[in-house]
Amino acid sequence: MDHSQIDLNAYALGEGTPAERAAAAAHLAKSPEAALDFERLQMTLTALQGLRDEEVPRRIAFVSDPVFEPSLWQRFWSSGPRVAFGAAAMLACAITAHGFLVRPVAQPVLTTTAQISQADVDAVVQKAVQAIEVRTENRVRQEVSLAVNKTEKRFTQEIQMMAASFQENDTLLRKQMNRMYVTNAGLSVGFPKE
Amino acid sequence: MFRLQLRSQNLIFREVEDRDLVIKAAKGNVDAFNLLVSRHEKRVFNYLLRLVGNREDALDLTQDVFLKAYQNLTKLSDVGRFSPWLFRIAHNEAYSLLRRHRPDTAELIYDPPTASAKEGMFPIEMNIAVERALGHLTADQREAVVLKIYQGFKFEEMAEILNLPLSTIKSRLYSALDVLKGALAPVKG
Repeated sequence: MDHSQIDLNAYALGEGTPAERAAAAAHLAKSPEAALDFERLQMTLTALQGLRDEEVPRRIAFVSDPVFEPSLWQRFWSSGPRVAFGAAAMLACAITAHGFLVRPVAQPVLTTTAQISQADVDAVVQKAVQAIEVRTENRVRQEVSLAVNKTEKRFTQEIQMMAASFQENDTLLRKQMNRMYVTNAGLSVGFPKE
Repeated sequence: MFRLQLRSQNLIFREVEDRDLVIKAAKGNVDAFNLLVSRHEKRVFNYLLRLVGNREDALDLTQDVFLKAYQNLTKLSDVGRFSPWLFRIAHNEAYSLLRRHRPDTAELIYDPPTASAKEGMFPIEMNIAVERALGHLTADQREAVVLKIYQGFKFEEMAEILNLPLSTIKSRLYSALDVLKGALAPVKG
């Protein structure tokens, strides 16, 4: 490599390809003049780097601060799914509006209908009403029957529980009365302690 | 040089993570963008500070940069290029400020920051000398130095940020380094 092409500044600044850096190092090893100049350059760089960075005097406002709050519109445009949703909504509105605006006017259709007598209509209606009445009656009957059964069952259970409770109370009362008799009679044997 | 390389490596790792955050932020994830702000605010602020030389202006511009970034995040075509894109916004904001303040000139007048933040590993005299030396540069040269030396961008990224050919970037940077070498020579010993 020609010496005029050797970039010692780039070498000192950590730039250049490995080949260029190797060439620069070789040149410095051969040329005392270049080495002296390079040394001055390095001293200059060292002096420059001695100047320290200053701390930021006060904190920079963060995004969470109100000043950084993006507008609703910015937030909308910054989100792909939102934009897609908006576009889809607009398309849907356009289709709906188009459907209403250019809906074909309904033309009166002249049709021939078979003649149906009022009696036939009444008969059909009567039949349908009867069918509904039967279905409703059956359903009500079933539901009432189910509810009665359920109530009876619950009532029976309550009666049984009450009977059991009475029996238990009766037993307890009897025991207490017997204990009282024994105590009054001055006896110390007979019933176990409760 | 080692430090410069380390800075570049950090930028590579950061970019991998930034990519995920940018994707999330573009989908409306506020936390992801907040994290991006946390990561980049110091770099952007210092870049702007070294460009405009005024803390208040730099701070206001930094705020504007992140606001614009958030508003235009969906326009970022290559999510892996968030950092250069952000600095492109910062560059535009800085020059907009220039045009507002001094419409008759295209030059930023650099006013080096005062010596309040000089606690570094270097002697204070060195920092002052460096700041003075930076003051000798034109705005274009200074911006090239800031992007390369302090922000660790590659030449290609600088070209993207400044929207200029690679040859112009190198030319500006190398001429700036020549000026700086001369300006800093007396303090090297």
